[in-house]
Amino acid sequence: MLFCQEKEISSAGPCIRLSSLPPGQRALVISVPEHPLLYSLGLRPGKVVQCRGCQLFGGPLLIKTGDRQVALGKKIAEEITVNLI
Amino acid sequence: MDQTVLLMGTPNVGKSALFNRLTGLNVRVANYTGTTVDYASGVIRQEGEQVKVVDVPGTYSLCATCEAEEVAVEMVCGGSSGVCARRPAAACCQKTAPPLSEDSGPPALIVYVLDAGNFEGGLYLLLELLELKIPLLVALNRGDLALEKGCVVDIKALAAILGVAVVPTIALSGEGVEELKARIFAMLDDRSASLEQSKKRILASWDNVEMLTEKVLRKTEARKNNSRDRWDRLLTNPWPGLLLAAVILLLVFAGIVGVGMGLRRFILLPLFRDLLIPPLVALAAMLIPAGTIQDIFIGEYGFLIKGLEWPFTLVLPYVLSFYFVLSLVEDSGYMPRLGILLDGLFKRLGLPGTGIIPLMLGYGCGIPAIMATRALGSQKERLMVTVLICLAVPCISQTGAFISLLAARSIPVMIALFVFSWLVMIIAGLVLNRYIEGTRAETLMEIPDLLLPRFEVVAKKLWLRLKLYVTDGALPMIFAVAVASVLYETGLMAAFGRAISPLVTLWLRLPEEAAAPLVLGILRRELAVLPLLDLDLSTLQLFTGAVVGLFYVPCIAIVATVAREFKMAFALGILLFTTFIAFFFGGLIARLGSLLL
Repeated sequence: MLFCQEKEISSAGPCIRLSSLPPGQRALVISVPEHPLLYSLGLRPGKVVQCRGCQLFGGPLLIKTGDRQVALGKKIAEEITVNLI
Repeated sequence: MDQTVLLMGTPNVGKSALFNRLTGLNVRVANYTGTTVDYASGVIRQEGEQVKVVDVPGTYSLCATCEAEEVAVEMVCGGSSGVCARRPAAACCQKTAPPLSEDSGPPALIVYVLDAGNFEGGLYLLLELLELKIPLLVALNRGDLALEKGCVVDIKALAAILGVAVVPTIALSGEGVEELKARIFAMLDDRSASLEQSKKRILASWDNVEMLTEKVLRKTEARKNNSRDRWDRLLTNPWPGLLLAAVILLLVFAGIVGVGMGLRRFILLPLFRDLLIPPLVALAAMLIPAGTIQDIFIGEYGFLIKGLEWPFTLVLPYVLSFYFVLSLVEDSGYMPRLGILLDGLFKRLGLPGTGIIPLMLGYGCGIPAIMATRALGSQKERLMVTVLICLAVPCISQTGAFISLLAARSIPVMIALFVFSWLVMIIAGLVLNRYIEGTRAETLMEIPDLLLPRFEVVAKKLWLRLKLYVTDGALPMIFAVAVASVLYETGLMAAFGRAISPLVTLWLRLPEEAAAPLVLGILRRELAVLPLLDLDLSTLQLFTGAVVGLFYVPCIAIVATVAREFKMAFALGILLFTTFIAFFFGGLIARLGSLLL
């Protein structure tokens, strides 16, 4: 087994896409698409993430997960749902 | 010595730095993911004992997402790696099959490098490797950075839960390396330690990763390094990040040119021209009777003169200045930041922002640059970056030649040449993006911590470059100059010049002698430019010659690398394509220029 099943995450607030998370706002990851790197980079259901900002010209989002920083293409960010906290 | 120790871990945790410490070798280290794209092997020695150790490219899991990671998966899984059923794009280690490679056998021991500052991120691969039941030893690296982040790893608890030995190390300073060496040999001698390891069985799952983190990682008060954080924000936010990127690139360019010119003028030129070459020339004149043979040695193209002046006074200064500046940029962790700043723009060309890393390496030498494309996410990206490097990225030797050729006449002309090369790269990128099939992988990459480059690491890299340049750069150049000198003195060069003179004189509007660099340029890139130095050319002719030299065929060593990494047909295609582009733009500039000037 490579990936654990999606955990049941109790959602308190409204679900939004990670791509529309405003900079500086923290959020709880609810679901992520299947991708070989997302889990390894700390983007897993139940993790708290923070948007550090978005690059110009349709560039990637900068996401803080724990102590790490990840650059994330908009298309993937649209497939990740999060919950504001 | 048939036992093999593998050095494994997730990307950018310091495996190569530790490898260098363990073996005394010097493989490339830098602060970004995907520095190591191929494995390197060395030997660890201790008190008469020795064992082979292999530095494996970093991978996040045993499911490879790029060719560099495939190397890693194959190293540990051998022939049992196959295509992952769940994710067709990834090649995975199939854990049901025994980890056996026919040619090398299973590794005797894995030294797993775990970044204490990014503890959780490295655990999944660790659990996966433990499932393979190969004896394993953990090197817990970068405890210093972890402390700054407010994390302390409970080493005893980690060792107890996993049933493996854990040795704290700081690879950059060498702390803990002797202890690690001792443990490696102790484990190779004593098989019982691995028995205890196989008794513990923790399924590789993210739940277990989180459980383990909770039990082992203690939070302390973060000794926040505020300046690191502030610089990070300044450099990665579009504002002022893009402005700073422009300033940094300008400083990089000015630094390379300025430091290089200084080294040339004040150190290397006096050393060679005044001290070393005159006695050699006098000696040759004394020993060799005047005539063709003497001319081959000390005549106009005499290789005792040009063969020393060109590699050591024209090119070496820029090799040193380039790799000095590059070390600072790559060790600081700025390269991936530049990559994400430019990612949106690069996307329009079908390229990933991280494509900037192989492109920048290409300004040093195309061979490691083309190898570095292995870390890119798709075959299309690899092909595109490779073509752009072959076409329009001059290696540092050629840049040195351009500086000598153009900067003496007019610095704006030299800048115009580089701006022109970038324009052609953009156009070529747009065209290639349409015609090369495949997709660009969505951006997903880790941004490493900013680090202050260490003096000793930079100095070591520079020393290594110097040695490599003498053997792999200067010696072939001296040989090529010797060939040129023979061709020139025997009249063969002139004959060839007459043969292609319509192309050179009518189309490019250059003198007949300018055919020489077109022959020599196949051997080495800078030789497509340097012979122009001795011709009496107008500024427009200089620019035309430089443009042709820039886009003209990459050197044979690069063609061989492309053929090895891709296919022979692709390498031949690049040869034809670059030659066509070189003559096309050369002729165009000769005509447009004469209209405008």
